[in-house]
Amino acid sequence: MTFIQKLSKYGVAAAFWIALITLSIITVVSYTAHNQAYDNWRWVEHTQQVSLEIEELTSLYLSAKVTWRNFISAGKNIDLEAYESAVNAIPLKITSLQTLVSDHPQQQQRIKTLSNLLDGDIAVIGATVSLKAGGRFVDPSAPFAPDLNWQKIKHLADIIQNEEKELLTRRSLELKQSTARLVLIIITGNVAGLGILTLAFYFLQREVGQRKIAQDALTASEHHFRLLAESEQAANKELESFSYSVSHDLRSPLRAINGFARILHEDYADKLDDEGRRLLKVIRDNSNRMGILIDDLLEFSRLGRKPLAAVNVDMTALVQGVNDEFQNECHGRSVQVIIHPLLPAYGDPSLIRQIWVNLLSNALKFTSHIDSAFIEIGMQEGNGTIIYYVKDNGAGFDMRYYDKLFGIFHRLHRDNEFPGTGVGLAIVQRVILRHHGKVWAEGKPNQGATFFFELPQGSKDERA
Amino acid sequence: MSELEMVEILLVEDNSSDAELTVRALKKSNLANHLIWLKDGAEALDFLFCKESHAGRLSGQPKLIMLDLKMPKIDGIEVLRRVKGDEHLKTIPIVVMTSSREEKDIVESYKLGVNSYVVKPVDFQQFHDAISSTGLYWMLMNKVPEK
Repeated sequence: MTFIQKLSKYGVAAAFWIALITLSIITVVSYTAHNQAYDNWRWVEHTQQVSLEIEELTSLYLSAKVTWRNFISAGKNIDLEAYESAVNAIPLKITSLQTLVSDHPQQQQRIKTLSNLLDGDIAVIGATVSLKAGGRFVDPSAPFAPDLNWQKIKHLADIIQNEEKELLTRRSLELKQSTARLVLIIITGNVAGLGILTLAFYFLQREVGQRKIAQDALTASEHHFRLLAESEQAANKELESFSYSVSHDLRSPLRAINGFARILHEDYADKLDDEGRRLLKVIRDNSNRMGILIDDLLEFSRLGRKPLAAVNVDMTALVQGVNDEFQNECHGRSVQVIIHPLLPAYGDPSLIRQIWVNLLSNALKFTSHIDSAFIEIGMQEGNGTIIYYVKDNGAGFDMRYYDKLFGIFHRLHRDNEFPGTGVGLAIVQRVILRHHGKVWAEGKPNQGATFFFELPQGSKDERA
Repeated sequence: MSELEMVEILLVEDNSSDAELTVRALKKSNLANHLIWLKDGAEALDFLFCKESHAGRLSGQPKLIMLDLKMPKIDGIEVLRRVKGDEHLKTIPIVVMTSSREEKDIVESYKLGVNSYVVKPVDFQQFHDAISSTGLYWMLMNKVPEK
């Protein structure tokens, strides 16, 4: 698997998670930023409020002082109401300011100092008002005059206001920086998220595309195989009908040759001399032989086409059965057949039976001239296979002609020695090759032959 | 061959060798005394429907028709269809004797009302036996409606 393939396999899911996490982080950061901006807005408001309160405080103080001054210089007829309301309002303003700057100890200290200064002035003013109200003389240019603590109060109020302004500036700067950072994070995050999503989309698209291609290829190959199967089926059917035609159209004239030769023999045998009758026999023998050849050829072609129905085959029982069938043919002969226990093979029972029939009938045929024929059937275990063998002490064969042994219509013996069509071993080879097995032989002229064949091993417990 | 004589078996077969072997097998069983052999379906229909060269023949019909399927001009299936489709001829037993063991031919023949379907054995002896026993059964053992 290439890196790209791995990436596209695991990458898509991973990319979605990464994108999801990135976008979640951005959401959290944006929310935080929003809160910060809100705080900042409140800070501006706060600073404005502090300034306002300070302004009001100073103006209350000034109004109290002006009223007091007028009272001192003008005397009793001056109304003290404005003075009294200012004196009453000042502590409230102080309390309000203290609350506003509760998070800033330095400012709190300053406000406390301011409050003390104001209290001091108000105490002086209050004492002089009481004296004046009692009809006593108060010198307007007394030591506490003319400005009392005004300069100090003014200075302190300015300091408090400046401090607030400075705080605002600092917070604004901080906010500006954090906002810039935030914008960078949001942009980067979004770009990254979008990039990852795009990549994931690309891989997804690619995978979908590849799947589509694979699907198309699969469909195409299915179609191809269906066509192939159909054409094979058609070819098989054609071959079947061809074999059928061969069998009948070839045999119909053969029937005529054989039949008429027979009629000639039946009706005119007495009119022919010995040579005439011999010639007639040659015609009949050859037409019979051709009949057998056609049968064998058809059998060979049928075995090649028959579908394999593979099961476990009990070889011992199969061989015993085949051997029993041959018993009649061995009548009057001294034949000893030894069948060793055989492990099961895996294959088509009817086809494998044909192997045994052909090999055993060959062994019997090629030992027919031997006084005491000996045939041995056994096996050797291979690697997942079984090698079976049929050994005889018959005519054997010359290894020089080995390559012709399994060829169709090839014979290593003359027909007058051992009759046959040369199809039997070709059928054996064909059946074994169809089972993906192997067949081979060893032999020496007049010293017997051994035929070996290898088939897949069958299961021991499961019998066919 | 005299058309005045009564015809018992009508053999329709294009292969003269097969026809001769058939006739010989029937002869051996003494069944070929009143046999007429025609070489294709067209002639067989002319004979059965008394047309063309058989227009003037006396109207006696065979007791058995032995019919080959693969023939030039009109094939056995067509003869079967025409005979079994005719009110007067449909009671004549027809035995198809052919080399074809194709399921299609067998099914078609039975659908058309064939009385028996015999695949010609390829072996001469078996062929001989099949012809004899078929002839014996249909001519001697089988009972047909009186005309």
